[in-house]
Amino acid sequence: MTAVDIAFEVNGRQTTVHVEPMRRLSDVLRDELGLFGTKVGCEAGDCGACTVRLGGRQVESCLVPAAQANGTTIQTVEGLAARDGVAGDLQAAFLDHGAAQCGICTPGMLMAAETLLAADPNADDAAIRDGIGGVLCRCTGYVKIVEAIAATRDARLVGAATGVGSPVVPVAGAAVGSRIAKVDGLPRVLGTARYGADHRPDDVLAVRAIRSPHARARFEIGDLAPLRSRHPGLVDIITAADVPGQNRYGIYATGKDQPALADGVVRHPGEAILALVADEATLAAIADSDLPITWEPLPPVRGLDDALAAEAPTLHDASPGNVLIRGRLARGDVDAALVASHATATIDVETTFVEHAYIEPEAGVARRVGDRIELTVSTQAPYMDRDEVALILGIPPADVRIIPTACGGGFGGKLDLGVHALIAIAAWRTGRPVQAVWTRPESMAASPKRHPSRIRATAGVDADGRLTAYRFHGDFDTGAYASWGPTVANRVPVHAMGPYGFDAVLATTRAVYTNNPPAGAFRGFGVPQASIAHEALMDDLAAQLQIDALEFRLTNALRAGSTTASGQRLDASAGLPACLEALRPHWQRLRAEAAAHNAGAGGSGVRVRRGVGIGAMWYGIGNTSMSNPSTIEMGVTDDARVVLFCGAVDIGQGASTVLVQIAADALGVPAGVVELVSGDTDRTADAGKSSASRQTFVSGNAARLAAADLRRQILLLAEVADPTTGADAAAITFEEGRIVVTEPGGRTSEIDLAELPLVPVRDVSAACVIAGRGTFDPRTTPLDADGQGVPYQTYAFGAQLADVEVDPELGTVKVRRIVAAHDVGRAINPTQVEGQIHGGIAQGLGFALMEAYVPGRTENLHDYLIPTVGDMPEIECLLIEDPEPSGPYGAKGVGEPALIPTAPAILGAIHDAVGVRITQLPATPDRVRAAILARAGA
Amino acid sequence: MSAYRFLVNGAPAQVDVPGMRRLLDVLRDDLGLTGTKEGCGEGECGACSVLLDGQVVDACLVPVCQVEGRIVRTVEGLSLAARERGSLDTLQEAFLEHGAAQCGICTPGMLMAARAYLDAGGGPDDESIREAIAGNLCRCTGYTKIVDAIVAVATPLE
Repeated sequence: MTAVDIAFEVNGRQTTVHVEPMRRLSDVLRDELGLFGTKVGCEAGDCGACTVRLGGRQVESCLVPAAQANGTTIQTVEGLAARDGVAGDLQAAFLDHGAAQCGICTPGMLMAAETLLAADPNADDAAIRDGIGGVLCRCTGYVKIVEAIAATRDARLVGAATGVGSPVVPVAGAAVGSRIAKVDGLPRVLGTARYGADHRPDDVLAVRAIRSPHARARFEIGDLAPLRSRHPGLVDIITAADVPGQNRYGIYATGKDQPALADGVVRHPGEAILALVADEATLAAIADSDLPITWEPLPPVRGLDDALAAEAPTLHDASPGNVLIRGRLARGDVDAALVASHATATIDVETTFVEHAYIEPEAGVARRVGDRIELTVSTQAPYMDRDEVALILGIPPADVRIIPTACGGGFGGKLDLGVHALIAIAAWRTGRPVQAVWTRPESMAASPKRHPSRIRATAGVDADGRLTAYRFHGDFDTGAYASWGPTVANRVPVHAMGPYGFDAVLATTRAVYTNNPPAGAFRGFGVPQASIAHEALMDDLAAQLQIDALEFRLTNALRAGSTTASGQRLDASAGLPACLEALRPHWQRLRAEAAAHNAGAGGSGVRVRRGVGIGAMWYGIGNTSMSNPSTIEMGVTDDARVVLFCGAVDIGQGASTVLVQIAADALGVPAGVVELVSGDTDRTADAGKSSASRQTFVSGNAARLAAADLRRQILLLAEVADPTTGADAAAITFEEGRIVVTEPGGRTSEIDLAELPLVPVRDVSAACVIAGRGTFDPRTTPLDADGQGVPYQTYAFGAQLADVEVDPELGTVKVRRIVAAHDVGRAINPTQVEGQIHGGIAQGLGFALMEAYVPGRTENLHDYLIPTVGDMPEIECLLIEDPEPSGPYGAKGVGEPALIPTAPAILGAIHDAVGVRITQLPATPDRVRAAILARAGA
Repeated sequence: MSAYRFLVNGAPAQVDVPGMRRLLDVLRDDLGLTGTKEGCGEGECGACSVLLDGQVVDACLVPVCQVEGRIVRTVEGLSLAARERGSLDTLQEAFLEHGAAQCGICTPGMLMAARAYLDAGGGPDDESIREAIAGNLCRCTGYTKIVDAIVAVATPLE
């Protein structure tokens, strides 16, 4: 198709582009006009990330051909700014309310909101929800987004000043506990934050993976010379034989089983077998069928039954029988304790693959710089990426630089390599920058998922309602490659019995290879699956003993002084009782309301039944029984800037903000003073992965220690009489070229920074003259063969209530309300904590009711459903602060904990409403209806 | 790829194609409805005019994803509908009668533009008719007989 001139007005400026008429408007905005604020999440009109206004109307620009824009007026997120770099009122409201977490949906969300407020300045909250119904967010649960839009509506109605955000700006020492706006939030609402796909150097090449259509097959690649001659634009063709280093990578040193490019055998649909490197037009002209590949499909191992069958083929030679790893925890005599129990209950649970569905697909660009390689890439784990890329290229880790982009959602899915391997190999071989942006179907086919599970569990209780014993076995489908399977297998036994005290526990797990996509890390590492079982059993036992389900949990809750099933004594910060007590009035009220509603059901046309359920959880912060240190540096530059060099990546959860707050208070300066260098492996020390809910606790401690070290050095330089006593009260201020220290008595001293020599920090470009460094590694011990030891230094606790309505005729479930109580130790930033809880609930709701990934069939966001704003209940957050003595200012973590109790609470509420216990997730209408019919027929 | 479903000339159609595939290509190549012509591929000539929910659109500028769940009418639909009544559509008859089709390549698009005009209640006013077909280029006829044909159909029967 030939290019034509297309003229339109964008953000008030007339412009003409010369493009093919059917080019996506989203591509025109981004690639022709450099308006990268408009994001691309699916190119199918499912996610709404590319939403812009066209002639005042809300459109998904990925589905609008450029020709349809001819003669029109377009507004993008860049057009919402008050002026260059200054947020407009709607953007400022998003910032103030914490409505942007990762920020990838924010531009589309803003444009949808602007459209609806323009059309209806009085839009009520229901209209707001309707207006943003076409834009998906995976982080926030939509709560704060709706709040921000409503606040903008209200401000506009009264003619309040626009374009001015009013985030809390705390003074020195008051950052912790305050609701400061995200330190990296402004670019996210302005649309100027650059994500994985937003870095396109000149001269960039694209790399496209050719992927297997088969779940299990052998293949041969024929003569590639004809393809090269037919397509002279092809710069490189890469096969397994061309991988410069080791063509096996993986999370664990013992589990490096995944090839960058399959070597003659594929083990899951969508596995990459070959990569083409060229300009985009050349790549687009090559069909998969043009490649000389001979396939020999083999019978696939489709799930646990296939994999564990006696005649099953062995998928990895190192794992005969297809069991990757087993996990085990044993304490006491479970069999005897169950026999002696007053009552027991048993349940079988089955859960399926769950897709992370971050709105930003995997993307990044690699450049070869001499004998080094630099990857600018969306990731949760820069240092781990560095080591894996080094392995694949066969070069020292020091010669790999990972520069994390803004990360458009991770949830565990960006802990594995995504585009890294192929862009690195291609850039290494060609010497040109190479970009890859996975399509949504490609991302969904090739990226790791939540492990499907099959669980059997039995719990016992004595006549007084005290839990006695818990027996658990869980098989987890770990897919084609190990990924984080070992983590799941080891984390689950520790948490399998839930946050309760038992005399005896036997918990065993297996991670099992199949020919499904790899199952890896996903918010909770298997614990959400296990929680379905233990919470159903708690409900069952409480009912058998006719004890209130909340009181039953409270009686048995772990608390300070309890000993866990792994033999660890909890000395402090075990706030589950406080969570349950905070929920009690809500529980009693909601149950009374549901009962009153149901009393009217059956008559007078009331068909829908209501129910209330409860779920409780605990979760160890950081890696299981394994060193997982964070190191952070903080320096003062010769021009008196204060810089936090922070290797912890903010994936939307707010780590950057929380770490700045902690460091600011520990140094004794206002948070606004602290500049942040984030994630770059050449400029920051290793602060580990953004996983396991560890950044606030582990990196937070490192930040606190680094800032305290810096403060100590400043006070020494200022010759404060005794920097170890009374020093906390000394005020440190930064002025041009100097530091002024004022002691409580009024004595002031100055440090002239120009006189100080430079001190080394990891960032050699930073002219630091004073630098502090902090390292923190949680105190854990190895676990013995029975899983006994100290797997985590501290645990988060929480509980949630779900109030649902069920239509027994249709099997549909609508969650009306969730009340969530979480013991976070200390809420460093309550807005961020609430945001994590809201988002965790959204994902927990999806897990409970709708999300089911079927390999090869649901590889898009219209067949794979995640919650929209219309699916979300009202949410009330109750923050419980039972301080953790070893935490920074008492803080623990909340990222994963927020998701875990939601699904159990919803399933319990369904049971309360209609008397059926759904044990196969998700609880889709057909399953709920079938269970109701089965019960009626029984 | 995704399945897109819509109505074409009253019959349900389903295609499993990329969302940005042009409706023109879907009609001609996937559904075999070659009555809709391609003259330029950039919305200049109107040869590919079809009706989408009753509105004239250039099918070369409409991606199939925008057609999901909607009603498409092509030139084949005119005669199909008319055949059930045992005749051509009155517009088609008028075009024949007035010699409004010479080479005929613009005729399908012209007919659809005219049909939309008439269905919207357009009358025999010459200027309005010329405006209604202004997006459709004809290189043979000088438009006079096309306008005459439309006037004839638009003129109320005595």
